Amino acid sequence: MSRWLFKGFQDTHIFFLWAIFFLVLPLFVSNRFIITEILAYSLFGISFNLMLGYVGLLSFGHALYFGSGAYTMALLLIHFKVNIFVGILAGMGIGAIFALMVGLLSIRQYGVYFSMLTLGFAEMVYFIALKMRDLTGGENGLAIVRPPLEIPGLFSMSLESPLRLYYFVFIFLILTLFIFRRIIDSPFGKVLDIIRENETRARTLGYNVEKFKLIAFVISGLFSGLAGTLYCLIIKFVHCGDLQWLKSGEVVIMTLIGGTGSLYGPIVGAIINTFLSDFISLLWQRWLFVLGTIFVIFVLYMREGVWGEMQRLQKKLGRRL
Amino acid sequence: MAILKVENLTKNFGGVCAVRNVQLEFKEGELCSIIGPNGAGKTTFFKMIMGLLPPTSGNIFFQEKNITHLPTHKIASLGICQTFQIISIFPNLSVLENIRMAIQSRSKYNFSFFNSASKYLELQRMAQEIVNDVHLAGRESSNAKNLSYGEKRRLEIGITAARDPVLILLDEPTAGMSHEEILDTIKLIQNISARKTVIMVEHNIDVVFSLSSRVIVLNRGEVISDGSPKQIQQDEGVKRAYLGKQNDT
Repeated sequence: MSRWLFKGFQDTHIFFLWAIFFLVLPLFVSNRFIITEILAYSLFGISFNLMLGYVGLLSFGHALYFGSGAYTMALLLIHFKVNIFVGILAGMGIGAIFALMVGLLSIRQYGVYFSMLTLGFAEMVYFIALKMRDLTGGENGLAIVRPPLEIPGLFSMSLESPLRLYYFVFIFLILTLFIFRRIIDSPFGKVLDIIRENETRARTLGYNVEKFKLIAFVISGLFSGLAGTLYCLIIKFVHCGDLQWLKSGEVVIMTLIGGTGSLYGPIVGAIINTFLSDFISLLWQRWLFVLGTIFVIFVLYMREGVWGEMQRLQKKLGRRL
Repeated sequence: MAILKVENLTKNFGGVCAVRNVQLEFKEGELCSIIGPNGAGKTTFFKMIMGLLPPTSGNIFFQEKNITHLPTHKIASLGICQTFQIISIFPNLSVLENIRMAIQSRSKYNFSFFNSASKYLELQRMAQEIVNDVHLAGRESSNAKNLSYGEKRRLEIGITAARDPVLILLDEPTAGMSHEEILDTIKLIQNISARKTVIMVEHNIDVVFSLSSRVIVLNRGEVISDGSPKQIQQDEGVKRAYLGKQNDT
């Protein structure tokens, strides 16, 4: 049994363990709101990590795709009372379109230049949104009424029950995890691997590096948009802060703490981040100080993040057995 | 027909002229070596052909198509592939994956998003053949970074061969190798160069003379001699470039 636990552990098992973990989590945690938030942030982190962990580019403007997804959902609900799925699809589309526009202008850059460009574009949109108070509500934001889960003519179900909402978001997280696993393991995903490993060599083998990076960026924006729409449904509110660099920074910190080397790192990061912000902030006002300290420790001593360290430990134990 | 033709190729780095007015033609099927002292501009010459460095002036034609300003990946997909002086592989991928990625680049599967890469058995099988060809059988699943120096060099040649290029550029394929490894590599190059055009930069004179049908000598960015290995051995200018001026009598 222990042998299997440490040696026969494969990605498929880890995937199912996470699925089971989130499936039973509501049984043990009474605050359903927070664990639903964790799901949405996990989704955001996973999308973001496709760029940081797999392509090797640090986007510092991912709030743009998250926030624009959230705003799309809110505005469509307020002005057109659309079906929930229409809102989700539209939010994903808008996230992807923004990613395509920013990507076309910045994907040729490297390192800090790429980060600064993505940050710059996101801040531009943030300030525009801040000024267009009539449309976006500015700093006050927009409150929405959560629509029911509905397929017209077939069935309709309210999402006001926290548990139902949790499982609704849960399905999207699992679907996204599944899709990302397939992408990372596909021939396309392998090209991202070699671009990260040795970009010049990838070019001399005939790979159009910019095209692959751009596609990855758009996929990342698409699913960040999804995370945004779900987040908007969870907190029934959207404001300009969702587009701001603080949000971008949050996903960076979350992913780095969780670990960039695998698909599941950002989930761990989301759990830690949400836990800290929701629990420690009750105990101590200066909880960001705690988060900052943890972040510094991780960057200095645990580059692989929590998930990376756990995997290393697992391998170590596996060798002993 | 000339497969590769360079016209008045020049590269300046600030005030330093690395390659000066080079005019060369390479025939299809020939194995040609470029030799010259350090800093003669050999690697710069390769980088310009591959599109990794833009030339200051001049033109490069491959199969009569002007490729001077094409991006590297386009040049590669026309059928030119290079090995590097400093080993250039994918260190955290397995040996088999290294080769498979070189094969995949010329397949139609690059934009398959949803199936596991290892399920493309045809690519897998072709990759395995090349692994055997470069004598790396048994090491398929090792990470490339764990190979020995000689093995890495062979992998590098394997990656290049896997592209099935028309023109191969080899940048010092035997640098840093032991005598036995060099002999192995010579055989390997002979194998992969059958029916292909090869241009090789090499310091080891034995390798140059045992493999090439034509030798070009570069010095300070200029072609100072071009001919059969025999002609080169007797060329006064070459002796001067290598041995210095005291031979001038």
